[in-house]
Amino acid sequence: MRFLSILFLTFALTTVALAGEWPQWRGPTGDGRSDEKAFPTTWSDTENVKWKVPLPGAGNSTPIVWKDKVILTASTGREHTTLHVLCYDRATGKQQWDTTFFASPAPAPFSQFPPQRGHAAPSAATDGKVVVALFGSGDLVGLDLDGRLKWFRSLATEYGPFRNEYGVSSSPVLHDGTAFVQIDHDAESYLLAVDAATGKTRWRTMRAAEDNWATPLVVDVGGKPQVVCLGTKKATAYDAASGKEVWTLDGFERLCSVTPFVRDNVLYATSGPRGEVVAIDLSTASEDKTPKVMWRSKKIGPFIPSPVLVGKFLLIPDDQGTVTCLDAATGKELWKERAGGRARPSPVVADDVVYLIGLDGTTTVFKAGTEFDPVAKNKLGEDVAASPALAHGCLFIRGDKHLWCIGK
Amino acid sequence: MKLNLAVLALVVPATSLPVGHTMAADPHDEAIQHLLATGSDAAGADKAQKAVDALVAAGPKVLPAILAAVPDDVVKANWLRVAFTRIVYEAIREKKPIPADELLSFVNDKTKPGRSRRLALEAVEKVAPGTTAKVNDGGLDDPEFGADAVAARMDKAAALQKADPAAAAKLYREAFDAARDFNQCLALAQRLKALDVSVDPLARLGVVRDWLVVGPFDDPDEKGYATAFPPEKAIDLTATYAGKDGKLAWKSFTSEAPDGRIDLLKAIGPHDAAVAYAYTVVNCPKDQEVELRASGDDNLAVWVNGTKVIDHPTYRSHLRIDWHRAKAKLKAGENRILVKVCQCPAPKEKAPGPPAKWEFHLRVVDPEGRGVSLPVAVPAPKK
Repeated sequence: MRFLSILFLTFALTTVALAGEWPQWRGPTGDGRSDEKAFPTTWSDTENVKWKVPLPGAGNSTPIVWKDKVILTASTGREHTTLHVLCYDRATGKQQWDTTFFASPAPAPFSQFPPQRGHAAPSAATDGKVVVALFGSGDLVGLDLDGRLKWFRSLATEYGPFRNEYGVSSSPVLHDGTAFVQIDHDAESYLLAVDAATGKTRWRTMRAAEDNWATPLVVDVGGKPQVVCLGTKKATAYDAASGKEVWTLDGFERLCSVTPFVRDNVLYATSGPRGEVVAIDLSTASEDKTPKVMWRSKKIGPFIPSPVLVGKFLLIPDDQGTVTCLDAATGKELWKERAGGRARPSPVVADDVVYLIGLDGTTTVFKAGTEFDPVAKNKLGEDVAASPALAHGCLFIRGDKHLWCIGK
Repeated sequence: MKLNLAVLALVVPATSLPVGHTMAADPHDEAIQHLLATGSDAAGADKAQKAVDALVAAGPKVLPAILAAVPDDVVKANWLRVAFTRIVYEAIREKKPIPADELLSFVNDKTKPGRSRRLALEAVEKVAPGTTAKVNDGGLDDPEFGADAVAARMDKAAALQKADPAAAAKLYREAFDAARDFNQCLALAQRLKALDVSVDPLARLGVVRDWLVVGPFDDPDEKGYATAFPPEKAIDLTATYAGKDGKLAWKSFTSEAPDGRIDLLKAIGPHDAAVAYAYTVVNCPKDQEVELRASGDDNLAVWVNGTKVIDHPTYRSHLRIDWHRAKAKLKAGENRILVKVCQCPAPKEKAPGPPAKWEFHLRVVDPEGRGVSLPVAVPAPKK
């Protein structure tokens, strides 16, 4: 019975099957995984490049893919005062639209307060009805799929400028018509729930948190959706309907950048640098009950990249390109390998093949098993700080200068 | 209408009507009013969507009216922006003319809001490529395009530097004299130095380098920021205080850092869980309204003539030059500035490496953002 309850009652609500799409940061299942097969494993700056287009601005948000559209965000100008939501044709790379905005006034000149790649670190999210995009300038927008503005919120004006020394990177997530936005910074931190159709606030819950960068995760616990936020030494779950805090779990590091994910009722949460990976049994959670910790790893947590799970192998990338493989059931370390160079992008996985991109644009392709099994190293010839998207048989890679479609 | 390239000489004809002249008579003013009725919490968004469609249907003739209506409020401004940009996009796609001359007049009017001028320039650039370069060529003192003009002048000088260093130095000097941006001033000083021209960028930027410092006071539990240690109660440069590691006295410190930051690790020493104070006196020739721009690692409080003007209590902050800003009134004669900066306790499992940074930076600028260089009259500390 417990098995069945695990199977049917609790699952990441972001894991609604969306074959072929990559609708948000960390993909359709919220864990960097695509259920498609037959993605290319080798390429260069000329081989297996379906198309490549120059980008008008800076950013390290992940491209999202919905049907014929590839959508991403950027910012331009000396002070990054112009914000862009860009859309390209998935088949050809031709720009479909570029909707631009004034950024909310910044508390200090951008040149003295430089998130490395402008205000476009958070990835957009879509459910096919609305595209929601957040910018480090404190602006949250909702567009239709043709780039027409549905609503605009200046969170910086309404609740105060974002005070985050590295910029904001937490991406909005969409669930059942609500966009959840986690703003953890050096002022009053909060989790905001917005009606994705109208932009109006459903609720805003204050959080006892300092600056963090992790994206929230919507999970189903006992038939009720909860929003799990990682930040400042805690994992905290909120009732998705009301914003009320329902449980909290201590034992994390102060800095939390890594996005948690859930698979088969187990929540995997990581903080760091040098934090533990924590596996949490969500079947033991409820409105008045904090879930049980199944295991805690050694202190191997990275600062930035998020992990992936391949079968029973939990792969924890660090910021220097080393991957540690844990047994997902026990947390026991199985192997550790220097897979690539310095990395910001998070790995993605499809058909048990892992794609790990380094900052220099070299992708290490490998299979995860009882040992590290390298497949290829593919150089793009362009720096890459964004995580890739896997959709419709292609990899979509956002370089510092171009958007690439890698496909056969 | 085809853009008359002669207009690109950036001369505003004396007979030009003010942009927005047609606004009152514009039949689409009602649509604009819907956009101006938007607000917090996505208020008015439903009507605004329809209003944008109405303005787009009206076409390029309403562009000047939209531009003139863009307010400071960023929500309203963005609704007008999306209408404006969609009209321009549609016009280009359908090969319809836009009123480029009128938009260019708006660009050249320095009394108009900067971001609206930039929006207009982006539109004109689409139909007349090269316009931005021409605007930048003449706008060193432009409140909106000045920094772009400085950057363009720097590029031009760099291209000349080998072939004609004297001409390059002249361009760099013009740019330096106009620059307000912190990084541009420093970069220009470096380039001038390479051409044997000496300038003082920190004086130009109003950076205060000369201080008296005292510390470390003990702060074991991160309550030091909220604790008023003796220098906070009264400045007595002859006093000694009980400190974290013994008796403390004021001592002089002058920053030698290229950006003028005060490194408290050098000025006081490598301490964790500590509080430091820095004090200086600046002489003002007249009563003057200024802006203080400061930042500290970890946190920062600044008092001017006994009044706290900056209060950033967060431990574990990094120094970001100009991050915290406050208006202040300086009086003719001596003005006292006191700074407090804490250093949080070291983490229990600190990785090997250099001590955590402990520093601050402070400069004084005028209301237009130009550095105000004020003579510092720091009294000598007690020997």
